[in-house]
Amino acid sequence: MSAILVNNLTQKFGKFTAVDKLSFEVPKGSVCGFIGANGAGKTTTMRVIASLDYPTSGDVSVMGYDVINYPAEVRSLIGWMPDHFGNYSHMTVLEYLDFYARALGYSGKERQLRIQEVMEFSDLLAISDRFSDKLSKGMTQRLGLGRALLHDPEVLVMDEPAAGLDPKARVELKHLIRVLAEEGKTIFISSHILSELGEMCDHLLFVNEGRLVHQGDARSLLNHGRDSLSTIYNVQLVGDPNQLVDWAAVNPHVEFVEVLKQGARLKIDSIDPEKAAYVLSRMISDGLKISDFHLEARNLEDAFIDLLQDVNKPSNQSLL
Amino acid sequence: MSDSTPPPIPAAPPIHPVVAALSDFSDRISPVMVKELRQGMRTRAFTSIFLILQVILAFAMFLALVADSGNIGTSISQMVFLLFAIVALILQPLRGTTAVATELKDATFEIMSLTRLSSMRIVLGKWASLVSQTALMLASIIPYLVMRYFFGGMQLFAELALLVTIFFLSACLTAMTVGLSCNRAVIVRALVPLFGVPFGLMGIMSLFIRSRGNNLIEVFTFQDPETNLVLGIFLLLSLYAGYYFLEMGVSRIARSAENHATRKRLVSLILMAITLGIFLSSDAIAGSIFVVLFFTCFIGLDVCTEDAVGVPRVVAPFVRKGPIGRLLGYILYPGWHTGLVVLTGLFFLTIFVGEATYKRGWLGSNPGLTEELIFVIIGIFYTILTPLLILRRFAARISNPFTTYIGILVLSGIFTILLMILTSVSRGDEAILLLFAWIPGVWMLIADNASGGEVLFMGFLLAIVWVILVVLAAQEFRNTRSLEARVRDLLNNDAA
Repeated sequence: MSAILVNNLTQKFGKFTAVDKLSFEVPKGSVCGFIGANGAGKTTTMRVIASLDYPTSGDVSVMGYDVINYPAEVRSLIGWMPDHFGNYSHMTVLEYLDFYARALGYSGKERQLRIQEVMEFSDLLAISDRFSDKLSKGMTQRLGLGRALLHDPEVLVMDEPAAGLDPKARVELKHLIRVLAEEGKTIFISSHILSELGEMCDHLLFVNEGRLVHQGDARSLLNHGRDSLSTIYNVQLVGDPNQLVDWAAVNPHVEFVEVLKQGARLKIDSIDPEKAAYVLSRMISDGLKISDFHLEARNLEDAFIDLLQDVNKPSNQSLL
Repeated sequence: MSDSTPPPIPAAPPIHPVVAALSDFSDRISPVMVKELRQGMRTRAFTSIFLILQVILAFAMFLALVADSGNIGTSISQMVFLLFAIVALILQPLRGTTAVATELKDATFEIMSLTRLSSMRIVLGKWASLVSQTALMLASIIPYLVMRYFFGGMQLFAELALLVTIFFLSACLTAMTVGLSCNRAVIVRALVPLFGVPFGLMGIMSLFIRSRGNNLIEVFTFQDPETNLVLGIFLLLSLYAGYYFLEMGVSRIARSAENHATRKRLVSLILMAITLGIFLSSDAIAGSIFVVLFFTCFIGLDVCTEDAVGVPRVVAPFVRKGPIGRLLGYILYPGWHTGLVVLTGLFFLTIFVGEATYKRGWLGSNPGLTEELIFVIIGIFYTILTPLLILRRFAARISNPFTTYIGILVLSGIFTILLMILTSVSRGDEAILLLFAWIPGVWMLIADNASGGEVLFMGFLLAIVWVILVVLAAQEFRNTRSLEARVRDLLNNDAA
């Protein structure tokens, strides 16, 4: 069974369409990354999944419960962590969690035990007496995660949890998410830090202007649009980089891509390293003073940007 | 045999001392109330009010002790009641104006709504916390009243009854402000400080200073049956107003699958029937029409600002009951279109009650409704329905109909002032005013001298508004019918 099922979801705000016939599913027990530029419709979609907003049209269900007609059931299954939430003044971290534990129906010893578990997991015991509105961003996110976990939800929906965190807090958060994934929770997470999502997600969904433009794992994105019969090499040389442009123009297996500060990017019409070695030896024998020659590694950010450029081409509106 | 030995039950992990400290509030208290009390009693607003009240009362008591006057006991009572009335009827309700709005602004409300707390429990918890804080202040003035007893001249029962009444009214006023605080729009929340505070202060001053509180104390001796009836009705209507604003606030923030409209309408209609029954069976029968008009205004404001039902879950309980359920739905489904049906019924009820009871006993021989009163009735319905027409015809997609509705009324108030200036410049041509008679201020100006022609003209305008609204409502009813059909299919599929 899918933990989250989104079918033809459309969300309009007046004349603006934030989400346009979006369909996808998140398998139970998976960690699914939800990626898109600002304004792509990520938060809008997540809010509908969390039963906070009423969709213009389409069906959304969580663990089989329709979010419109069974919001109470959906809410008991979901732990929602928004990108930004205000904290209460005059209320300590411990009292904050105590309030939510009470609101979630815990009482007596059970409540204390649950709060303790969550505080230990989220490393909040040391700051239990701090006022919740006086915390750093990292502590606030840990508190938000602790609050979202209080009722031990099966599905965790996290909207940009790493936004604004310093590197240390980001590593801590990543660790916590990894532990939750190992416990078998379904995690649906949005972020703009693609490298982090690539590492921890089984599945990635890419949205642009409210539409799904790609889905798969990190490898599928890296391979997206890549020509399987050629490779890009980054070449640096001593001297004028235009020598490489001229050289590429007269050599049949090499195509010039773009000029760099001290060299150029060249496409070789083969994936065979032997061919690359042959091209390098020809360059040297033709008198080019090559200082660096390496296969260009493509990261997720590059792949995503290429993907968006492909999507925005008029002739290529749907890549799915 | 050792295999049959049950495995040892794992011991519960020890509670960390930090967490073990969490036992200061009972599990039986609402979580929101616990949270609000923790927060509220640490705020500067509460501590300042509490301390200032104590300082002033202690100082007054000291002055009373050193003064040598025969009337000192009454003066102390007057001082205690005046201060407590300002705190309970003005300052504490004012704190309610931001109760839910802050949560909405900081996006903490939606996190709260993801828990098991219903919108009603959240709002009630906020209200209960503020009322508890008022109760704490009430408790803190009891020692001063005990001391005042020794100065003599105290009407113990009457003064206690007055104190309890002030507390009760404070709870009702706080309910109204907490209910209004469910609106994000400042224009709506500012209504209380803008209009309520000046009028409230004037009222309190006139009751406790000008009359020295004596008239008021007399009321609470409960000697006069007519005064008792008026007081009882006043308290009942205050209770209703408090309930109404809380419910209205709740329905503004509730999720779409929650139906608050049905309960609100039923409670309003039942309370109206009870109050009407009290009036009809008393000597105050001529006032019955005002009971209907009072409830009509409250019901009208509410039903005109509701969006039409769009969620199968809300319709399902009615559809399950068959044709009778669906028929009831046409007056109890959430939405302005069913509200229009309710208002139509209330209009005829008003005319009937007025004709039967106004200025005479039940079905007596004196003439019923006067032209002026018919004009007022039409004016009230005109005031309720015209903003609804503007709202539904020109701003149907607006996300906050309540704020827009109030906004239209406020703008119309401003327009009244401009019209008054215009008519005074044009030497009072009331024909111009009649065109804008849907504005309360305008028809109130005309009502005193309303002629038969003016009543007919107003009635004609009201009829036009009503007809256009019926046409607009027909589309909503079509949508409701298709929703009912969808729900019927779903229910049949479930049964199959």
